[in-house]
Amino acid sequence: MKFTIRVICIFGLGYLATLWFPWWSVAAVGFAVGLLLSEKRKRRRLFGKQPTPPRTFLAGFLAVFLLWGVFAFWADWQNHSLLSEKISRIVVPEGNIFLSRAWIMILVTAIVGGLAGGFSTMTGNLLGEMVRGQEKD
Amino acid sequence: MRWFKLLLSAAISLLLIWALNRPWGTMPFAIGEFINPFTGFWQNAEPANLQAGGQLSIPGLKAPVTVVYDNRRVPHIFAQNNDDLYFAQGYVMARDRLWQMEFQILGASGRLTEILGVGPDSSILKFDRTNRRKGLVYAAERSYEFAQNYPEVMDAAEAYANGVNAWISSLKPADLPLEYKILNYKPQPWTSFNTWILQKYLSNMLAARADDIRNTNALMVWGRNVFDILYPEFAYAEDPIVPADTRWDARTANPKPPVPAEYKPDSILKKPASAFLPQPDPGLGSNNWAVAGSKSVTGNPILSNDPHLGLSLPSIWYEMQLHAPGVNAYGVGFPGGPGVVLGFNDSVAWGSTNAGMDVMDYYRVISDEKEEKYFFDGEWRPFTLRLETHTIKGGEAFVDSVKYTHYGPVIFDENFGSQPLPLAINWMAHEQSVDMLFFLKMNRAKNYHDYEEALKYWVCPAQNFVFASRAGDIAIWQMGKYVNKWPQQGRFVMDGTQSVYQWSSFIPSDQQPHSLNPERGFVSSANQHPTSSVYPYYYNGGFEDFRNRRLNQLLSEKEKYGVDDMKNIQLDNYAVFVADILPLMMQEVDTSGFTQMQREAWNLLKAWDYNYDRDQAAPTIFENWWEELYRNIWQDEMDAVGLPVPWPDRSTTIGILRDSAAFTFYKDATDSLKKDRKSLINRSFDRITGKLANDFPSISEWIWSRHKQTDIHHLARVFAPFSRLNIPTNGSGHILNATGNRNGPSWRMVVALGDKVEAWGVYPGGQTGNPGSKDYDAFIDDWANGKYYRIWFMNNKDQDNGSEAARLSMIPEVKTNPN
Repeated sequence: MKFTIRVICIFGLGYLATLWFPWWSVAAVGFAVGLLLSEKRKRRRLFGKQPTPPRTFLAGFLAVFLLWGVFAFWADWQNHSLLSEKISRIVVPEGNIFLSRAWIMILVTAIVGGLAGGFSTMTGNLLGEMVRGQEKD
Repeated sequence: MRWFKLLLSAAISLLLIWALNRPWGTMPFAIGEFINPFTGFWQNAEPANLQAGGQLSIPGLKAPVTVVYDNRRVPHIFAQNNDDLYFAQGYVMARDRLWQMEFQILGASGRLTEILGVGPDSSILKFDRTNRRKGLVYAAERSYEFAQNYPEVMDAAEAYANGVNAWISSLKPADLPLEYKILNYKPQPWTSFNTWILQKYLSNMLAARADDIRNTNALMVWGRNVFDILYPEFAYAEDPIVPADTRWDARTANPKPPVPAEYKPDSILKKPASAFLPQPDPGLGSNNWAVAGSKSVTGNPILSNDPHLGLSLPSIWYEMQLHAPGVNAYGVGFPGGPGVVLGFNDSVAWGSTNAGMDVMDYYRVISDEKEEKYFFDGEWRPFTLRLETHTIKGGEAFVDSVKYTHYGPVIFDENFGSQPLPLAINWMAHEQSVDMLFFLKMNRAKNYHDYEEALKYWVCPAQNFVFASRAGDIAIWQMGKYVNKWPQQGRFVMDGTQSVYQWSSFIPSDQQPHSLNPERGFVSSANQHPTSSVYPYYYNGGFEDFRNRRLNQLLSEKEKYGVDDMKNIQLDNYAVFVADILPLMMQEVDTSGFTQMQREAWNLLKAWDYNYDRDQAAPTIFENWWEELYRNIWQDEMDAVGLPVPWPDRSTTIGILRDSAAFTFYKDATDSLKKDRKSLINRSFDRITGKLANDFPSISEWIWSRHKQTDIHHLARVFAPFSRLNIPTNGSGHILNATGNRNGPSWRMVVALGDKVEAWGVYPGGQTGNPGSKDYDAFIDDWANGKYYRIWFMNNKDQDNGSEAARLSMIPEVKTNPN
């Protein structure tokens, strides 16, 4: 449940932030959501849920991956892939037909955004756990 | 452990963001900024069904303006006064072409290093320094100062600039044109001064032809007799712009100034110079003509124009209609300046071709030891220093101090071009002028008188302005300010220490080459000599020798001409050049030892009608053969000089080949098989058929368009995918359809005057400069296939013929008063 909430929060707030702030504001959002939605670190269980850091990373990654991917896809679809095709030929060395495709640009966009979102959310969460964890100790 | 995880995660996050927020290697942009879909390149992916219309309130307008975009994205601007008209023109041009507008200005003013750095081998810095040392900005400053006396021009340029700035200030980072995002810089505010830079950019493109240095070298190396054979001033066949039988009254002409008493052009430089400026591409030429009502099927004049320029994306032209009280003009203009440059209105049509005149002369300067003064008429005069600061992206600024004489700037000296004796230029582009007033006046012209009046303002670059009016007049004037020269003045580097070598007076403008309603019923120009040798003034320059003869022949063949005839002439692919030389070449070839493939090539040439059709192999065979022959004649001697000397032009080479079976330059010291015309021609045929067969095994691969390769590059050459390469086109540079590798008809226009003006046009590009728009290169295929668009010339803003795509209402922004 927490996972879905994180994804939704980062997606929504990330979208709002990029309307006014530079691209990296999406990472700031990830960090903030990770921090605020963190909880006291639980003792590691042998079975059951995975430890938190990878899961929060995944939440941040997925949120921004979807956010950037969906908007890039939408722009590309309206544009009939005219520009992404050209940009892919600037970015990717000549001759690689497999890479000179519009969807690769969408995928690269989404992954770059996802990585920025994932790491920042994980960082926020780790910091939050530490702060909360220390409160109790 | 937890600390460690936190620190590691934080470090990775920060490192990632840092890495994505800075440029890497040769990439000028930051990946995060460039790739994110909210401000990056995705924002430039224009929706295929873009609507450019709507309502905008814009500060700076006086009254509402309506812009009707037609289905080719051509804006038809309807304003209620001139200021709003040019404001709106600036606004819509910037909306479609902002990056190009600014890039051209940066290029002309020698400021490309600001955004691109010094470039490989400092090539960009060298380009910038050349433009600064030519005094392009200096020239613009002088004319700008002069223009303050002409409120009509100043107001138009100011209003235009305000419009451009209204667009710029509406831009958020996400809206910036793509090139700004890739090169990672921002547009600066536009100034009216930029329009003067643009004017000098044109002069630099079209009127910087000056072979003084190379001519002087050639004269010093070969002597006068050989020089005159290699570089004659008139070709074996000329059909000048002003009909050859025109009589000039020598009595009213000003006398030519005397040739200086001790004129020895071969002793002014101590030794041949190694510095010289690249000369304009010979493919830069144009056609224009007008037929009189008596020769037209409509009974009214028809005017045609196709300027051949370097082809680029975005295109040099932007198409539009400008409507306001007192003006209703349609045509193409330059992104960066107000008005329609080539086009028509309800009463007249006009067009232009380049005159090719030499209006830039070199003077050898003698300076004192400290390089503070130069010697002139027995005294030492101080240089004026102009410090040119080159701001360099990612580096320290470079300051170039350029010395100015009363002639103009010292372009070459020991600091630039390794020239021991400083060389200054005197250039007509440095004259104070308001050339742009010509366009503004032509946009409003009603008749021949208005045209003559407008011409007075044109100084540089000299043009052949063709004209036709609804009233039935046709005319052509070669206009531009010309020096009244003594014979050969300005062909070679001159002595800058004596006043007798200076420009002394100008040719009176009413005696410049012109023709009004000539008996033959048409006026025409194709960059050839303006006059026959009986013209009472001396001039020199670079003139085309083939297209003009074909043009005048085609215009003399028929009784009456219609619009389709005009289009067919613009698209004509017949090569006079080939007709002049191929029969002789073929006659000299020994066909006995032919291989199968040579026989095939031979038969193709034999059957050829001399048309450069894109799917024919014959033009490829001929062009290769000619190039090889031409190189075989000249290359060894030219290389042996080891210094810049001009190569004899094509028509001179043809003249020599036709006249002489033996000639000293035919021989080659290293190749005993090359000794006379016959052996040269045979050897070159063997060579090229061998080479072609080797490169392309099947003759079907030799087709002309593949060999020629018409490429339209993006203005900043670095973005290959923004260029259109290998466009299959007919024609060649020396043909009426002058479509070459990188040059070609940059705007084809045919205007039929009459009660209702009808016009057709096409240019190889598209209205928007956004590579992410389907309109970016929308016209190229039709242009390549010889199609024209019927122009929608509107009478009023509410007219509808089904061509309207969008309507933009621009409303003055009213400042609401609090309270």
